[in-house]
Amino acid sequence: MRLWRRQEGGDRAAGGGVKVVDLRVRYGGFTAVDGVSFEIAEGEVLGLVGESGSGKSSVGRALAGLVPYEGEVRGGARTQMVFQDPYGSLNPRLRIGAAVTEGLGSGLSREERAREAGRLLETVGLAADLVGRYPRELSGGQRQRVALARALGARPGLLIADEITSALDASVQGAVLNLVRDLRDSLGLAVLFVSHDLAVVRYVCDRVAVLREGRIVECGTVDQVTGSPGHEYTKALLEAVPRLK
Amino acid sequence: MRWGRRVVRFVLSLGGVVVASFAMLHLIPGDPVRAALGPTAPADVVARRRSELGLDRPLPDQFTAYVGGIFRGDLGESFLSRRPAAEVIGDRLPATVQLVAVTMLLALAVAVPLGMWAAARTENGRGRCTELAFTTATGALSVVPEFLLAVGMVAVFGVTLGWLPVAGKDGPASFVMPVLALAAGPTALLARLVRVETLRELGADYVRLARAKRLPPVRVHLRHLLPNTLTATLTTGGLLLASLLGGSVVIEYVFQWPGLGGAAVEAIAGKDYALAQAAVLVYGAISLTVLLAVDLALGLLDRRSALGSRG
Amino acid sequence: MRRSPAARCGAVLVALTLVLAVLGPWVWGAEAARFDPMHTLEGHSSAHWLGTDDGGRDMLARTLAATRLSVLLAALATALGAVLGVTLGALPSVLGERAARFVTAVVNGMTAIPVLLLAMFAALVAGTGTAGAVVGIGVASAPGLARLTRTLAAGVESADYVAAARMLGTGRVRVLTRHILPNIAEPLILSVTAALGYALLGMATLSLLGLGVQPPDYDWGRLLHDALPRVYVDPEVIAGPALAVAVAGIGFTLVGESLARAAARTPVPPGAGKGAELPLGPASRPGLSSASEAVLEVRDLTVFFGGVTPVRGVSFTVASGEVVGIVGESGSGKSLTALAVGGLVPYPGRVRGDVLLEGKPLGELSRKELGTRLAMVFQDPLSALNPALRVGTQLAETATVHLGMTRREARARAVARLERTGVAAERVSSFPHELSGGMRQRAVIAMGLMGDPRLIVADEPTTALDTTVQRKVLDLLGEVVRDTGAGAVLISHDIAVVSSRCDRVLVMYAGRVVEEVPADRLRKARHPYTRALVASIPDLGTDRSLPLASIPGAQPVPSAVGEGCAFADRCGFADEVCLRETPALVGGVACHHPSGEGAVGASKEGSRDGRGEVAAEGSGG
Repeated sequence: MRLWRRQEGGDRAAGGGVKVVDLRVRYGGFTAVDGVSFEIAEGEVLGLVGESGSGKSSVGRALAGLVPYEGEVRGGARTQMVFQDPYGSLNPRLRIGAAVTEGLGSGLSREERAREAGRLLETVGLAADLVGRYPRELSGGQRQRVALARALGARPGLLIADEITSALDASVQGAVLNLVRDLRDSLGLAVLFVSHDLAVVRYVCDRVAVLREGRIVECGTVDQVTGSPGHEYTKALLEAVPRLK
Repeated sequence: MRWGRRVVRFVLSLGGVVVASFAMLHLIPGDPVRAALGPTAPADVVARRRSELGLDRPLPDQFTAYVGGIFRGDLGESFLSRRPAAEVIGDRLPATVQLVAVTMLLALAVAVPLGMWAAARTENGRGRCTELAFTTATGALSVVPEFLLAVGMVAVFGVTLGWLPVAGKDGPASFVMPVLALAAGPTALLARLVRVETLRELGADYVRLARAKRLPPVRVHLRHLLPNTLTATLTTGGLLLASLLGGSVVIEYVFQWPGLGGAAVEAIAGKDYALAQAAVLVYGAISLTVLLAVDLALGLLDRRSALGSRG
Repeated sequence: MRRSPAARCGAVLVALTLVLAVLGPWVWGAEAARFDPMHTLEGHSSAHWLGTDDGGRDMLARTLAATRLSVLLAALATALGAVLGVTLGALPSVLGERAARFVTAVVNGMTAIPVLLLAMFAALVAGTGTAGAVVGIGVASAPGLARLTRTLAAGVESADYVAAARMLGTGRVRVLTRHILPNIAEPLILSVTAALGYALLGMATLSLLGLGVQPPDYDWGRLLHDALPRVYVDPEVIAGPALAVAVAGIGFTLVGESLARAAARTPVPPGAGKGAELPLGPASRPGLSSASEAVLEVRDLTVFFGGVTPVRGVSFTVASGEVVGIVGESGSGKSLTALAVGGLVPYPGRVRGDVLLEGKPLGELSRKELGTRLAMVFQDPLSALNPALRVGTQLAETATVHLGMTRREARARAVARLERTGVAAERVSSFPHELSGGMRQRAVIAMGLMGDPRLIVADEPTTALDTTVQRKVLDLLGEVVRDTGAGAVLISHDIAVVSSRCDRVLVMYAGRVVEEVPADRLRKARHPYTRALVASIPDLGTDRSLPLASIPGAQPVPSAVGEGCAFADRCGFADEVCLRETPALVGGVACHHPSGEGAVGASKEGSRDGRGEVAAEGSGG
């Protein structure tokens, strides 16, 4: 697969937050994202929720520059993305330290890199001495943290989290969700949190956009959308969330 | 649309073969006519031959004439025998096609049941001995070059035992050794492939479900597995068929089989470039056609790819 | 890496060849070149084991002396092919979209041409002779290597870590050298080794045809070429060069290909195939008779894989019309329990304990009884349906095989069952890929209804489906249980799914049932693990101002489970007893320190400390 640069970069000035206007993503004749607009402020987590085929992952991939798109994207400098599969997102031949510092550029000395790697790992709640390990020595939850640390190394204006907990076991999932909230608070990160799970989105996010067939059908604060949904589809989604008796 | 694209690719590849076979004559360092007639031939004879063959005309004219000739069925004239190349190829091609076709049928008929049987016996790492015997035997057979088998068989069955004719094409008995020598490698490769594919499919959920339904094992294999392993088998079979054409050149040489391969080798060794050029063109066109046919057949067979959703 | 016999055998042949290549011309060079006009074209004799050639030179000596040239030429050709091929194959990774596609198309086109023809063509252009043959074989081996390189590189390029690198601004060339090449180097090098074998055989072929090495030089192929006409008189004269080509060519190909396959293969799961074999068969315990009401009774079910025991002494019952849930994380043994209940544990797994379906051991039931009374539903409905067969065909076969129905009757039944599960009748002649995910799972459930199921085992039946679809499929399963009076086992990693749909829930951890609890009492569960699991999953009522609970560490892999409570090292209540004694399932909970009802704070505080996590994701589960 080829990777595309942004077609219309827009204003890529530093600083957090992003404004997306009328985003469209097409694959051949198929329109996956059909005119989506939203805004994420610094220190805000926007949840993007939808079912398979809703286009939620395409929105994330477009903003990360991984698929070509049309429309306007303002801000979102150095957008980084964390993926669903903790096993495919780290190069098996690179040590954790090298993986985490990949986005730091070439201007740093060896010592500075080592120090920065340790600092990044500690930011995501991992021990700094993991730098010498290989990905295969880490558990799924640890790998997702490393992927987060690698993304943070680029000092992203926008972080995209694409279903980052759906491949994790329940007992580990909570810790990663807590981490996303902590990073937002401590770093003032703008996060686009893509997920199919409304309960998870409700816990992590400040605002939610509900995506269906490439369009946003409802967008609002978490309490509005999950408490008093305005759209039939949102209601159906909420009703379908399995509940503990 | 998928098929359309496939046919366009075929036409483009065919064009590539035409250009390559044309270029061949001109890529040869020095003068091909001089090379063919030898260093002692008088200069005026060489010049006359050159102009007879049109080699003194500008390249674009030559190419137009070459392509035009192909459409008229005129593939040039042998440097040596001065017979039309198309006629030589017409004489020799049927024997090659018979040899390759019989070989391919034999390979499929043996490899598919053999591979499925081996897979059933070695599922999930059971039957270690069967696996070892199967992989060793097929592994060895798939890398032994056909000419060694051919030479070995000639020495044993032809000369020492005298059971089979050692050369020429004369009746069914004369097919035995060439076909076996040519079929061994492809059969081994295909059998391995069928086993691997079957093993992979055996792990699929639909097989588990078929077993949960307690269908008889024979039904699970023939009704459920076979259609799903056929795609990969035929794809590889098609590629092997194209490579059989290459292998047949050597086999024909060893068994003095009156096929196109023998003619091609003689032409190349004898510096009969016009005939070699025609042979390359015909071989290229045949392998491309075979690959096209396999692709189209697979399109019909495999519902999923026919849909174009997961090509 | 496990060395296969093929690789070992190949290595011996390669070593032999290389030694001969070095020593051959020194030791036998003089003998091989010595003319002897008195003994030309002889067959076997005590002086010349393999006969002599037209110059009276010893064929055996010539064969051995020819090793160096043969290997050298093959190595040259391979080097040429490798440089050309790997470059062509790696080029698309650094080129722009269009150029990349063009290069790929050219490579694909070249692979369509038979290798030998390509070699002959190239040899012809480069001139008949040694140089021509080397160029010919080299060029001919390039497309295959290029395609392999391209395929491997494309596989790596689609990995998320390459996408991440590009997002981080890593350039194309650096992505190639840092991410792609290191991850494809191993299979590539091994394939080049195999290509060396093919080059040896190819060079021999060209020389045999008279298109390669020309006198007075000689390689094995040339020796064969000269000896071939004599095969009818003295077959032994071809034995030397033929054997030599076979030994060297096969050696290199075997080494390269078998190691390349081993390198590409995924590692064998730990413990598989080693360790002591345990006694098999039902551990029949006299005095225990099956409860008559139960559709399913599982007693002390244990599954072994070699020395590893992923399921340890699981017991439970399912009554008619009851839905029992099994919940657990990956590696807890829940899926293997389901397979054992279905009698489908794959080789080399061994099952001990009793599985009684309507009071009868599974092993005593006929194929027909099992095929009609037991229905199974798996996770991914697309892979659970055979892609090559129509939906109706797959449904109908239960009826034709087990119930002796005609095709027409079976088809009518299939239509009826499809309609009952909410699938339109015309779908009977559709292929699985033409159905949506939810429809496929309905069709699988309909398949289970073709017989007269007493027990339905559903293993993660909705995990691959969207939540809205999941709800409908779960509704359908509930209806089916109610209507047929069958019992059901619903297995899921999602405690909310299990809780909302089941009467009773078994919580599994590291192969054991740690708690058995009515579904509506899960919030008041007594086992620390269950309590932590419930607390770590957000639902629509979770307090957002508090951090989520999470359990530090990870579930031990089956091979690491020993004596004591498997949860002890993640548990806030654990003491020495927990480490020493495995708690039995008593009163629905297997814990030395079960919480009383209403107790709070079961697990260690939701820790952000990832250090405790061990690489421990087990397979299966």
